[in-house]
Amino acid sequence: MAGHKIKLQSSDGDTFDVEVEIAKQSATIKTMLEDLGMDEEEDVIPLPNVNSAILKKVIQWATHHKDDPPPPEDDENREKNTNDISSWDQDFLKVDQGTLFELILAANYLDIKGLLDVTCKTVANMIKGKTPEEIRRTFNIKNDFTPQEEEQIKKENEWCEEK
Amino acid sequence: MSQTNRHVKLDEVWAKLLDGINHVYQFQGMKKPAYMLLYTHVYDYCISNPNQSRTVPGTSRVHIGGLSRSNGQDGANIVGGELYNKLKNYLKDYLKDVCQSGVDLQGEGVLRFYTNRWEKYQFSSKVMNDFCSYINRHWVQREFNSGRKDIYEIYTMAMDSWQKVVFQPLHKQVTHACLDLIKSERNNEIINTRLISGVIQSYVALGFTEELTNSSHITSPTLTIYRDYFELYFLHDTEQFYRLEAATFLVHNSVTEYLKKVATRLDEEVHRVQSYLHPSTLSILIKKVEEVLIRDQLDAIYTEAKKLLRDERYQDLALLFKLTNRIPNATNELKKIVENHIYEMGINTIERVSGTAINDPKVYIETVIDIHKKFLKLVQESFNGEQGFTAALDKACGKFINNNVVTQSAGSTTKSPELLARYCDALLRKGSKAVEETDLEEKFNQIMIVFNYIEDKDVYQKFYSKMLAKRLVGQLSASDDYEESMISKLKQACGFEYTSKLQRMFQDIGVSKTLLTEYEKYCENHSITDTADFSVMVLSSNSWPFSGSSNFVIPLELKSTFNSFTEFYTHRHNGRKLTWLHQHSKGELQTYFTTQKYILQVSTYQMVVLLLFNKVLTWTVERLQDETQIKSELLLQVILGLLKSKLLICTDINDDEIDEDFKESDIKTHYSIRLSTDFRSKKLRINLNVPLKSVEQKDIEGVHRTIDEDRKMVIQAAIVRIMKARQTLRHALLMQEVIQQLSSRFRPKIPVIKKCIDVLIEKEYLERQSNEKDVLRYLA
Amino acid sequence: MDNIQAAIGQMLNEDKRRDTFKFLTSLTGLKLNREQIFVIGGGQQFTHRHSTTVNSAEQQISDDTNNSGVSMLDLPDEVYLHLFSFLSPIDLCQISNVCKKWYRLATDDNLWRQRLIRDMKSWSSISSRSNPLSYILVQSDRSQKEIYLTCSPNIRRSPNSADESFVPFTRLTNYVLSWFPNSKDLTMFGPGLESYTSPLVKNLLWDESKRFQTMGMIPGHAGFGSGIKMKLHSYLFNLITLYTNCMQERENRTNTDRLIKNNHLVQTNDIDHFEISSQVRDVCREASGLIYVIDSSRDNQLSEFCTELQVMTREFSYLPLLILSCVRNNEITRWSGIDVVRDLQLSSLGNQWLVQDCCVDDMSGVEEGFTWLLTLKSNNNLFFGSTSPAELTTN
Repeated sequence: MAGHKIKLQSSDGDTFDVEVEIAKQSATIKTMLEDLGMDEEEDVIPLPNVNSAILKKVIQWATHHKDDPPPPEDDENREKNTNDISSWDQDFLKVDQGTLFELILAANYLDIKGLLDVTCKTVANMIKGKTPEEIRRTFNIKNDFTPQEEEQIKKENEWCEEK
Repeated sequence: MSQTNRHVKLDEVWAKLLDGINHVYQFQGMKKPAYMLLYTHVYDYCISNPNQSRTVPGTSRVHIGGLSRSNGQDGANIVGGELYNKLKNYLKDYLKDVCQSGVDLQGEGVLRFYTNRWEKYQFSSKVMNDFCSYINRHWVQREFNSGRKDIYEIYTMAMDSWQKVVFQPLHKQVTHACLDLIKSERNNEIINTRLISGVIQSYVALGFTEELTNSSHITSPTLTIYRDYFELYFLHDTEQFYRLEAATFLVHNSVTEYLKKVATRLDEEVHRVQSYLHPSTLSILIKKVEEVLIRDQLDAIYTEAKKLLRDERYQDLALLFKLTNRIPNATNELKKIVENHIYEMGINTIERVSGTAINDPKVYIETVIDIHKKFLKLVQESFNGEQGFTAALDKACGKFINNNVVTQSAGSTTKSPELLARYCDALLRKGSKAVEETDLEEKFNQIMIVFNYIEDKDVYQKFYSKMLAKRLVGQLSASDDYEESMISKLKQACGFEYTSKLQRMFQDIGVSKTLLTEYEKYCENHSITDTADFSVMVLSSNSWPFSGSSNFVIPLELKSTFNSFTEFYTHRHNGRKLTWLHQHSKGELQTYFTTQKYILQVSTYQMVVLLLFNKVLTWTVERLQDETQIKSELLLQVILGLLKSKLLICTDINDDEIDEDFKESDIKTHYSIRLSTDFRSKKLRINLNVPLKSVEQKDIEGVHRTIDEDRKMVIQAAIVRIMKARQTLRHALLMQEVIQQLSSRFRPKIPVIKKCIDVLIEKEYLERQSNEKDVLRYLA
Repeated sequence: MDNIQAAIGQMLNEDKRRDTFKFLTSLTGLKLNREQIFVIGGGQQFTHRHSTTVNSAEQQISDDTNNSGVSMLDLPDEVYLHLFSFLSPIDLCQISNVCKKWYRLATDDNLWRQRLIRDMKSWSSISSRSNPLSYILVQSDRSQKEIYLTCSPNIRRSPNSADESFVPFTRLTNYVLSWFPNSKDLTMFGPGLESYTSPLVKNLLWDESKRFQTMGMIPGHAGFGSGIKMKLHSYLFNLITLYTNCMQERENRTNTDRLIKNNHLVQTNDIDHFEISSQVRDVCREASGLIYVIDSSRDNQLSEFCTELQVMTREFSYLPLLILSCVRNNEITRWSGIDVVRDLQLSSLGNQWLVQDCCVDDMSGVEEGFTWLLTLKSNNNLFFGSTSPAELTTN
């Protein structure tokens, strides 16, 4: 099956030939292929939720990671670490916020666990250690609390400190 | 990108999905684009959460400040539940129709219907599950994490729906149809097993729902449906079927035929499970079949076992054993049957040959060996050499070898060891009937088998050493190697102590040879020339079963020989006492008074008598006795032998009176004995040294007499040994230990042990504890 | 700082004098520690700046204009939850201030429940007051976040109860305490004293770090109840160690053997039923705290240690109970505190208790455990009450 390809079509109509083994990092595509089998003449698989630019990036990421061991099941017992992003992934994710969120959505849509984790970790690192105001500024979020509500929330959390 | 903002309402998405779902459940093929679009519809619906929209801030339901509040009203809003319910309802309606179309079917019809629809439904549900997987991934997972037990992944939910809507109303007729088919197959009809395996696969797959408390997986398969709705009935049917079959079959067939049938049936059932049932059924099914077909027929099987043993149908017996062995403890009875059979056969066979066997060790021992060989083969071939049956063989052999017609008519259990020892003697003697060397080794092994069954091993030892002594002294052994081989086997079986005397006897012979060469050198050095040409064996008196013999006046011709050797020996071994065993000595004389010179082989007694005729040609018996000092009883025997050889003549009796019936008591002391000067013989070498018959008979009696005395000594020694180690011991325990310690030699009788204890108390080796009468104490 | 004033103002207005008091106390205390001031002020610039690469990436992203139109708020809730799963509990508390949506998601019950289930396995001490299992047991209607924050030993979050912050009284008790020659009797027992973790006692008596000081011996009665007078910080106590048998007997036997052949429990008619022997009962009557030592190596079955503890606590349910969950060294894989709570069925005990993980070779955790026991507010002894470890160290 090596080198066997399938065609993926972005929302804006571009078609990408992708090796099956690379495409299978998407659990969505993997189960589909398992259910429906692989025909000789391949249909174009439409991905109406992913545009060309993002799909290209997703394929780029998947191609780079095609030989990775399958991602471990979420270990219930371990603290999740956000400092373990490979330098390739760090460079890969030096993109504008919009692209980053689109990658997250695409990873979620296609169910690519590795990509979803690494993008979410990147965003988590952007959140960590910031004041709420800084977070709002970073992500362009409007503070929709009334002053009383804000006070109330502060009170809820005021005795929480890390030992 | 606008997708994330758009609001997909439930009705809208359902309209889009319904077409695809119908497609899937009508088993029409699906293309990948269609699949992907369905997945996308579900996805779009789930991620468009009306409550979180920025554009409608008024709907926000955030309640600030509610750290203490009831569970789950706020927090994340994960979409999927409503769609999940719609899918569930769809399946319910769909399956109701399915069920309706199958409800009137029976037999193979319902099976074909059920398996066909099930297989398709399973596949359709898998596809639907997968294009709805976004719901599984988030909404279902979250519901499950918050502890809801009635929400499953969509595929599992589909199985659950099938279970409730199709399986529940139909399972009776489906299971029934399966059982009917299986019954047909048991009646040797060819059936379509795929129909059953399809049903079984379905029942197994439906088993998840019953037990979902296991939190780690949303679907955890169990076999409850299969067990409760199929296996239970199946086992019940199986039992009924085979109960009936056993009853009817045994009416018209022998038990052996029946057992063959059972073996086939068991194979069939194993194959049945392997080909279309769940593997977990195997052990429980086989157990059930075994119970019905074997355990409940054990009485008949035992009766058959006796018959097969009688008829020596070992192959059938092997099958019988193999099947009986499947039932726990059932072979115990079989072992008893085998033991009894071997015992009876042993007793009967020996009874048949007892007439000759009582005096013919070869017949007796070889009969025993044959019996053992035959039944060892039985145990190995029919009972797989299993330990329990080997033990039964041993027990039976032990019983009949030590106690049978031969031993009973001999009046003692020691007959068997005696005969065995005599059998050995016959084999080891020079000129025993040409036994090939390889054969001999085999024979030794057989002897050891019998030996191991012998209870009175000490008796065997007595006889054996007596006969060995004779073989050694008389130089009658066929080969030293054989002798040693036999002794080492005995040593292996009974330990060093048992054979130490036998080995010492061997050593004495060797030492004597070197002693003799040294003596010759001694004679040379001391220029001793007036001795007869002679050889001697010096035997240590406590290893050899000989006792000193009646003495006589040593004739002049031998005097210097005796003296020089005695001097030589006492000089070398100061303090040792030499006792001459004349009864075992012999020599050669040459006749000078005849024209033809004859060489006479004679015993020392004969020699002493004959040499007197060098002095005078005629002697009265009385004078002979005076001159020789040989005990008269013995002397008469010697004279009688010489008279019969016609070397001596009694002038008071006619020649023709000396025939078979002539006894030594017929010789009177005043009779005159004369040398027959015209003695003639065809042979130049004449052996006059025939064993004195009274000696042999006395030997055997002597052994039996001494055994009881010896045993007492051995028992006393054992008691002292035990008590020395234990200091104090209960009477009963002491008995037990004595019996155990001596079991490799003989089986001590309890009254004898008691007597021995009394003797030891009397000798003040032991005393009874003053406060506790049955406790003995060792006195140092 | 406006916020602080606003808060103070609000509290004063609402006449919550005690809360105000507490609030101020904290402030003065926190002056020593800049970071914590910023917690209250709502800023935290100086903390958590661990990863420079992350920061540079962050810079670049925030400098870019958001040109695709997809923003953070477009992410569905399920993605948020996944994203938040990479944040620490403290982060989650902080970000609930961002906006309503984030508040809603950062207080999500399920999020905190999963976190609690995951994290409690790594907590090195769990007390009867911070026992997450008890909340599950009574199906508490508290939010999972609150349960988490209450139970987690890694977060100091004082409940709003008045008596604990009554400082002058604390000073008084400390003063009184120093005049009392009677020190607390602590009774130490358990299978951990008689297994691979037995050097615990030796390490206590000859503590290399000198935190524990041995002051002298105290006699017992008929071989029972003799002990060592010891000092930890300003606290004097008598450590009475109950072994079930003499040294030689203790070696080479299983725990079941140990239960049956012991000197302090008496087996009654039932095979599984034990009672305390009278000597031990006498010793415990004098005691003001129990220490149960277990060897928590994964090689042991914790549930085997349950019987002995149940028997002892059945009669002395009023005594505070410290469970030293020991391993010999840190290479040994251990059962976690929450496993101990579950398998020793601590949720059903009447005692106040603390499970403290400790390591025999480096004595980590032992001091914490003893400090808890020595400073615990006791219901039936006024003079030993009303102190908390935090306040003691500041004084």
